[in-house]
Amino acid sequence: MKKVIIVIVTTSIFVLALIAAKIMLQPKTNDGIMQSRCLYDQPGDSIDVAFLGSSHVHCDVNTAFLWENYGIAGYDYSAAEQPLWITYFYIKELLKTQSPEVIVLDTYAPVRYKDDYQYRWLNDNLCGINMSINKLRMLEASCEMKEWTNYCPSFVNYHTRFRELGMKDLKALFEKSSERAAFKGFTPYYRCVPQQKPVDCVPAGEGITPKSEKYLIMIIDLCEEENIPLVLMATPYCYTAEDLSGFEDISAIAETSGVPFINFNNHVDEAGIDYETDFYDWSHLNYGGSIKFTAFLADILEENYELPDRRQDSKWDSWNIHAERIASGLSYDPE
Amino acid sequence: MVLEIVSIAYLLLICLGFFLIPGRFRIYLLSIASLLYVIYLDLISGAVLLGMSLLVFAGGMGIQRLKELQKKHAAAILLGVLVVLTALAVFVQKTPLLIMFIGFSFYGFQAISYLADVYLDRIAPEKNPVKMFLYLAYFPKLVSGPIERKGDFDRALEKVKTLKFWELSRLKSALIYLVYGISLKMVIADRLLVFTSRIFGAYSDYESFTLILGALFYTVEIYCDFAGYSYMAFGISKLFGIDLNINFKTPYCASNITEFWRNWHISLSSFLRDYIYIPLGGNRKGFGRKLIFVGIVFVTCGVWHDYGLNFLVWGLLHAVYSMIDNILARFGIEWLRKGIIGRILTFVSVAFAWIFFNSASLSDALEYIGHMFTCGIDPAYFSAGFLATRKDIIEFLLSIVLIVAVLVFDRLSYRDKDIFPSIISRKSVLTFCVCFFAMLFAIAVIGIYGPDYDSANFIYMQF
Repeated sequence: MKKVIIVIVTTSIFVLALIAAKIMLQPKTNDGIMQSRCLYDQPGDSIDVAFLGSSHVHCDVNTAFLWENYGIAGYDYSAAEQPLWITYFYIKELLKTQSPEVIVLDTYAPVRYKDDYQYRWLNDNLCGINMSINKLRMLEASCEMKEWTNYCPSFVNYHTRFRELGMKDLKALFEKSSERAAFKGFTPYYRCVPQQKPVDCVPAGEGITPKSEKYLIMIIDLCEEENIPLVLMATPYCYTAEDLSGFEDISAIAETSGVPFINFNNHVDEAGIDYETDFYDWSHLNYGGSIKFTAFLADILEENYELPDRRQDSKWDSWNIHAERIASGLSYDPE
Repeated sequence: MVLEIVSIAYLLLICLGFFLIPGRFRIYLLSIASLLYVIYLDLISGAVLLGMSLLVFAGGMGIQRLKELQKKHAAAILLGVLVVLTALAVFVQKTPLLIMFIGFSFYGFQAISYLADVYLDRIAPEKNPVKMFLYLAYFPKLVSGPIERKGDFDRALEKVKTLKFWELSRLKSALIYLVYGISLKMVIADRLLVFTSRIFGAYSDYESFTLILGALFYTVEIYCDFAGYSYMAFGISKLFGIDLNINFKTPYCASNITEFWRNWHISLSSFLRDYIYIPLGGNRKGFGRKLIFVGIVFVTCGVWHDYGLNFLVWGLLHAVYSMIDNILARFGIEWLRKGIIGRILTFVSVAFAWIFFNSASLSDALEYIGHMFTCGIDPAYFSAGFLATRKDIIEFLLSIVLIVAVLVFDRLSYRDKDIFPSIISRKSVLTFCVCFFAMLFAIAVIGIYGPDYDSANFIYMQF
């Protein structure tokens, strides 16, 4: 009996040590990992508008501004260069615990990136997702079979971080769920780098790939099945002629499917976006730009969808904390 | 077995099947598993292994039959032809002109030992071709040994039919050997490879301190890599109730080179002793000839490892070391062969020889050594190259700590005339669990695996 107790106790200590190591070692970047991880800490059925897609979402869609000025409980459930096949499974993951009124999908990634397997930001897209059948399907769609063991379990990928642990990682051991709940995905960039406004050009190139098209249609069908309105969009950035071909394809699919597609690059003047002051780099808006863009987006959403104002409801307190943090500059710093 | 997720899954599947099927079918399951494993690694190597086992099976039966017919000379000729052909194949397949067959060096020598033992009436010829195949192809030891003797293997197989899954001491032993082996390989050997590959790959860029450190790191790396694999093979085989021979017994604690070779790659050194040294005459033909036979043995050992003058020189160096040791022993100069002086001399001699082993060619090895003694010691140079970032510093310090740990474990084991996993498997449940989980934790957190590292295969797999 004593031996059995010893085995149970030592096994338990081992498991706890592994869990602690996992918490400390897992990356805490804001390029998708925190966005997907903190989703699990959101109160159930609290997200009214889910924004999905690439880093254009979590840099440009200012969820704090959305909350403070419109009372809309938005969440930037996005990751760097997220391809549509990952977005599809992100939506499935989202719907496990949330029932959004609207899903807004940014289409920059499928328009810009044409490889069927994209590894550059795959870690940031996968690491924050809990292990499940859905994650395994996400993995299967995202990388070749010979790479599976490099990305699943995610621990395989990030265990080497023991060489770069810092206070942030130690604090993560004691972080409460309520702390993570106050993160809504929005990651403000404050730097200002003036950009050239794109000139009018003729679409060139081949448009989106068959794989992206397949998953875009799957996303549209999924939202229809779940009775969730879907809005396709493109946030303002310095696009190219090749991107325009992609947007043409997206627009055609959207029209066929009866889904709205708003290319905000065509509405920068209406939104008041200034290429001299509102950009962090050629691809992302800075904090000032995010406010202008989000205001414009929010007006469109309010005009077309019934989105409740949650500001007086205590269930949505975490959005108040989120807004306070963004206002004070105390948010997750971009790495 | 090669260390991959697929291998682990395959092993679990074999274990499951092994304990679910009736005992009398287990040998056949292990044979099929071994065949599928080698085919998975390389189809042609699988075909060669099958062909080899048939040839050896027929050869053993043929030798026995000729002896029964009082045709001992014919039996000797048949033995000689088969042994020479096999030995030639073992060495020739290493030349750059041919493709190396996986595991051939190891099971080729096993085939030779089997045929010789049949001829010398040490064992009866194998009448079951499946058991013959299993002896050569048994998957835990296929890729990097040990070189098992047929008699030992048959005795180990006796328990297989009646083996029950739940035997606590066997499972404890299997697990600790397996985890210790993986720790040596994945936590230490592969970590040191990051340094040695850089240093040996660009030795002309470094000064003496770095080159000496590279040689010392490689000395520990090759031990942890090879011993790690051997312990893993032992642990895996233990799951099936088959006890393989231990291949390493704290060799770096040896006080002289003779003791070193009694404890390093024991299966190879005992093969060379039993099938080359003793048949040549051993120490029965005078001291002078003994030294010559020792030289032949180590030259054979060198070229067995690989084709290349650097391996020949490595073998020659050990031949010279052994000759010197024999002379010292003969003339009673024991102070150089015992105690701390003996251990230091032995370790430094072996470490020096490893430079030839790890170099791409003889000229590279000589240049490495030349640079090592002429470029001046400048630790700041090493710092600039290897300790530039916080990550580098942590990796280096961790490597030092792990090297000290393995040498301390070995020293304590040497004092107890045992090896570390064997000692732990006999300790209390608490000690066992603490050691087991500590190593498992180390593998999980600081093990060298994942996309940041290349899959660093076993050094001895290439032989």
